[in-house]
Amino acid sequence: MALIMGPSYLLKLAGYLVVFGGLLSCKPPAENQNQYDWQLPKGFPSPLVPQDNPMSVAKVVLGKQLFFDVDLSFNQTMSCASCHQPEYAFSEPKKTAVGATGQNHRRNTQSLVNVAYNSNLTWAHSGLNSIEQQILIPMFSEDPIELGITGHENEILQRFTNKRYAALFDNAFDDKQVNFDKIVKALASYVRSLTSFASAFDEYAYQNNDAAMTDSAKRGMELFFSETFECFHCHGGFNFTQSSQHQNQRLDLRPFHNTGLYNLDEKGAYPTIDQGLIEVSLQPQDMGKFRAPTLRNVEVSAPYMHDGSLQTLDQVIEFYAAGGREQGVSNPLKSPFLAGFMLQPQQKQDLIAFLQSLTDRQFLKSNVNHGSKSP
Amino acid sequence: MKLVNTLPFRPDISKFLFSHGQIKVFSLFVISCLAVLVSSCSKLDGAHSIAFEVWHNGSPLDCNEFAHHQQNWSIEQLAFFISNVQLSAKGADIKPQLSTTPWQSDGVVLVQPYLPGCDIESTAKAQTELGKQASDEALKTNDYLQFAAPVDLDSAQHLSFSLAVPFGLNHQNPLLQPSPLNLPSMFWSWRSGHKFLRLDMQSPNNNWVFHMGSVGCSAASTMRSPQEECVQPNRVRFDLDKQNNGAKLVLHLDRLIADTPLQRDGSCLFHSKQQSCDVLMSNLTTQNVFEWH
Repeated sequence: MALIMGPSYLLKLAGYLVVFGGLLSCKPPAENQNQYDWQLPKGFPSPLVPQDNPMSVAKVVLGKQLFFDVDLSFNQTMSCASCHQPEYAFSEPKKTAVGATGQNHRRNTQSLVNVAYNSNLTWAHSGLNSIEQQILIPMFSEDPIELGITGHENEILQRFTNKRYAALFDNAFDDKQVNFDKIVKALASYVRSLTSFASAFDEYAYQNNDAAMTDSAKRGMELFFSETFECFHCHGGFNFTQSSQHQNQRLDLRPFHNTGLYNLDEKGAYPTIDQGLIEVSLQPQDMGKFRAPTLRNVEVSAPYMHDGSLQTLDQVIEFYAAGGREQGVSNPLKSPFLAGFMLQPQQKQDLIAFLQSLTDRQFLKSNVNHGSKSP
Repeated sequence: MKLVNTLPFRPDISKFLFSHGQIKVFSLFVISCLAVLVSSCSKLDGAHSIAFEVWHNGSPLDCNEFAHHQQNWSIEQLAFFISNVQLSAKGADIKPQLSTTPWQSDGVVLVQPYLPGCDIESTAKAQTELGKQASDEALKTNDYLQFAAPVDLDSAQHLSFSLAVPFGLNHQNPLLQPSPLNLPSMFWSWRSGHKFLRLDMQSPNNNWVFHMGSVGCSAASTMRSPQEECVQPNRVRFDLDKQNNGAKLVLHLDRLIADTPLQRDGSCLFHSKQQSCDVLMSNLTTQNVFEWH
């Protein structure tokens, strides 16, 4: 073809090729997040990050300040960290959460460990999959009131217009102006940075150190991953929850399960205060379905279940061994992987030892001793 | 009848229709027929993919529910790996190259057929609630086996494949494996490898699951890989004759679950001695569970 074209055509063609090549070599914005060092152990994949909120050290620093700052609640009584306490793997030792007005939340505070990898957030919401979206709930929700920002927006923004914060906002966004979009993006970046992969189990499984786990924990691991105990069906994968996605794994599955905690009418009903995924999906079969949370650092995140109704790991294991609680055992919507199992006392100890091998002490220590006052 | 010039192009139409009109219309018809024929042939000459369909009692399932022995069942999850895909034409074997996608890598394909809920009204309602759900659907289902380059299915007579992940890829660190070999829901552990097939079903008052993969694998622990093939690899090989144009591969669900009591203790997860596993494995090898249409 080019042979019958004049030289001007060839020049034009060459020009187009150069322009096109230039376009191709431009990296999409998502790639720029590589600038942020996740400090993950070898082999662990980076989380997916929204294109409009790439990670940066400056945003994480600002987000951390905001996370621990009581000025973010309307009455200056609580911060994000009041419920998400670092020493409890960013959960709290309370049955259910309490907001800034003292209003009770119906659900147990979830741990924020490795939340950057979650394909779904909160206990039961199939459509909520970005941290930026989720953060709006504790900030602005009016029922229940958590931080209680709604109705006090300007007053709260005003609190952050000081010299110290101006510098932090400027570093993070090249702009001193404070607004809720920036606050949400900074908080999301900080929460995303909370990765935890330095447990004894990680050292055994991924770093090949045979001595990293005790014999009891190793026996518990065999039980955990067995088809008899079936724990790993819901708490599977590198983050011990099916609800995980990362750079090399974007395929998704519905990670919600009914575990037989309740069965009020023999048809599987959960108490009306909280019926799980059905509230969002409106599908009858989603009654009582909740997201399987990660088991990393589960040793310190008691109490357990969406309503905090089980106090210890011992009780949780008894619950799964029985295949549910009371009438819940015969809940027709219960997951097939909760058939129950026979458990020797030693096996229970071994399972608990295994769950304790998922604790990352370094992670738990890294964020404590952070002041809860404004900078 | 007089044709009134109400439209500017009317004279042209009448000219076309009335001067040798019938011949023109006929020849146009013949040409378009030929065009359709040629295009459909060329499509099969160079097929880019084979589609999967799930059938029950001889007809395709278009949503996730079906009646089996007077009981309504819904499919909660159906997914399976296939590998070592081979076509043969007149005695010559061809190993088609498979493309690399999130659902396919290293010649291994994860099929997870699209089976939406049958309750259309509530599904539609839920989808308006969650606008994102529809776009996310693409990440949840795969109904195709995709070739890297067009394949001549027209002259192929047999299709064979393994319902499995090959041993060499089956027991590796899932964190370092490409998708779809890094899906937690399809992975048992380093020692046991992947679930080759996973079928989870629910009825109003019962449930039933079938998870198939290699068993009897020896390794120091569940987090270490076996060095030798497992005692019971459970890799079923299918060799199928082409029944039609080869465009689709059918999984007959009723044949897979034949003679199995669909109840909790009739499930097969390959732990201890589960009788249902023997029946299901025998169905897979003898009941024409897959057909190539």
